[in-house]
Amino acid sequence: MSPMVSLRSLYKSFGQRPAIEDISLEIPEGEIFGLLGHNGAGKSTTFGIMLGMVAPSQGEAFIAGHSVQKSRSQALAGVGAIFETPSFYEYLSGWENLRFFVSLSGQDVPRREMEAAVQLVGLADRIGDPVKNYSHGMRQRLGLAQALVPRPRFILLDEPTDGLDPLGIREMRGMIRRLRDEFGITVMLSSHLLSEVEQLCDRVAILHRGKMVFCGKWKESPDLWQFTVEPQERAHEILSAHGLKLSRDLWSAPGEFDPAMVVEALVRAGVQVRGVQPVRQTLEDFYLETIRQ
Amino acid sequence: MTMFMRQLGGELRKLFARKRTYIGFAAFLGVELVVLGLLRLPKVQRGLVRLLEGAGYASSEYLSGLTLGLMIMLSTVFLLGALYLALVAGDVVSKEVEDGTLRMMLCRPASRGRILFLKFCACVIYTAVLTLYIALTALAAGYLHAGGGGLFVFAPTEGIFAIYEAGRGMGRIALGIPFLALSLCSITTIGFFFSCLKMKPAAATIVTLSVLFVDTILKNIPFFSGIRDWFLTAKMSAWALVFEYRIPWEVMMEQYAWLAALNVTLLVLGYLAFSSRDFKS
Repeated sequence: MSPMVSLRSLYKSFGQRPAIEDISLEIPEGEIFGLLGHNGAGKSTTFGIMLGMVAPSQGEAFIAGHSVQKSRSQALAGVGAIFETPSFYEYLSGWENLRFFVSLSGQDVPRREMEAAVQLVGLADRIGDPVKNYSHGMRQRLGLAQALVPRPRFILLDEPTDGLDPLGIREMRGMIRRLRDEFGITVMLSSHLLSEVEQLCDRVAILHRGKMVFCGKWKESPDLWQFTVEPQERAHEILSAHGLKLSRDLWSAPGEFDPAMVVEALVRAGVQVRGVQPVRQTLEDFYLETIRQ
Repeated sequence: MTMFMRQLGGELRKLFARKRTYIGFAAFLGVELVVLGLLRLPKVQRGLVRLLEGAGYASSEYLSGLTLGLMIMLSTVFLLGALYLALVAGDVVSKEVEDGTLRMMLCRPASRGRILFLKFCACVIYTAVLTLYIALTALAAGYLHAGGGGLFVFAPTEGIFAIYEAGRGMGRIALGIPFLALSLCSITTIGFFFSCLKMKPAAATIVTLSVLFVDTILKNIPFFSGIRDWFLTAKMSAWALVFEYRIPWEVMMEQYAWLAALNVTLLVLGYLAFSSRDFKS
């Protein structure tokens, strides 16, 4: 089965400065994929290329098998998106905004489908109000509603929880899960809230200074261990000899790591072992570690 | 076609739902009333009477609602029409870029060409509605003040001095309004073109007005009288030729063909500039 999204060797420079370099990745259907990176890492440029808003200097983006650069209308026919902060016509009502943006899909969307989207995002009570009276959270919901009509196969969310309060974040997380679980929609999102990404995403890609420094299931990354040992110099030699790598006081272990065997080797070498414990690595740890490397 | 009409309806809704639109329309009415007030001043009235009676016509018959209405219309279009259209057309793309709503539109499968075409069509319709509004309110103001009667047209720069009976006068005004709207579409197109470029909405409006301003000044410099017809605002004045006794259709068509060529060129250039832009904050 062909992937829902395929980015092939994307490269984009603004003037002399490369914004992204050689970004390639694939997202299979039904996955929730996270794109991470600092501000200016190249996330928005990547999203912009995927939506045909930014022309790549090299490479091509495919959505549902169609090239965004060569047949944009077909590629975006099944795509919903919130790209950067959702903006609306303040003087129009939420419903009028929704109707206008939906009309640009080129499809004859039944009213009940729009109403269902409004219901799903929890805006039914206020959809007739002018957008100027909406809170930030309501705008985000309206942004999501417009991205869901007509029903997309792939949805791209740029910072969907940006500016939301904790309750709003939780609701948004629930909604994103529902999109995948109930409707089978493939989701790609970017967020600075790594705990959100950690809870939502099956896989992540990390961009740093325009380059993709990681792509995969971050949970499959090497386990981390904390060794409390004395003397440290000798312990370092033994641990390194067993394939462990030190970074910031923690040791990352290779796949076939057996802690009992390593402890035995340490003791045999005269190292006093006071404690050995695995450290659960959060996505934040992993992200910062990857960026640092 | 139905989809296009629906999308165009959305664009028009955006233009006509803004409070600013109605403030603008109210401003036009205000300017028309000011012009009417000025035309009622005894000094101005005496000048008009002298002009008409000097040519052997009864001022009581030709200083009518039609004549005053046409005068009000011309003054209002000159004073405010260009400014307002430059403001609307200069905003139409660049303001949406600035506000981020264009980004939302571009997330949709509609092509950039289609989005631009929709916006341009909306601007042209807006121009036509505005022209009709100015004409109707000006004529209404003229009629309310002076009542019925014949039409007297005096446009020295176009070399027009004409007198018509009420019916024919009304016919000529009715014929002139669509041509005036066509002329004003050139202002709309210039504003639209600058709006497609990477510039702030205010800059697009100012540049559009500057083009018109410079064109008008150059056109009125005596040294350039020999090439007066080359200037944009001179071509835009071609609509006034409908008030000549024998309408010079060939001259009008030539002038409007020039304007059409200019408009098409600007639209194509605007489209090319817009298509090659990256949209990312």
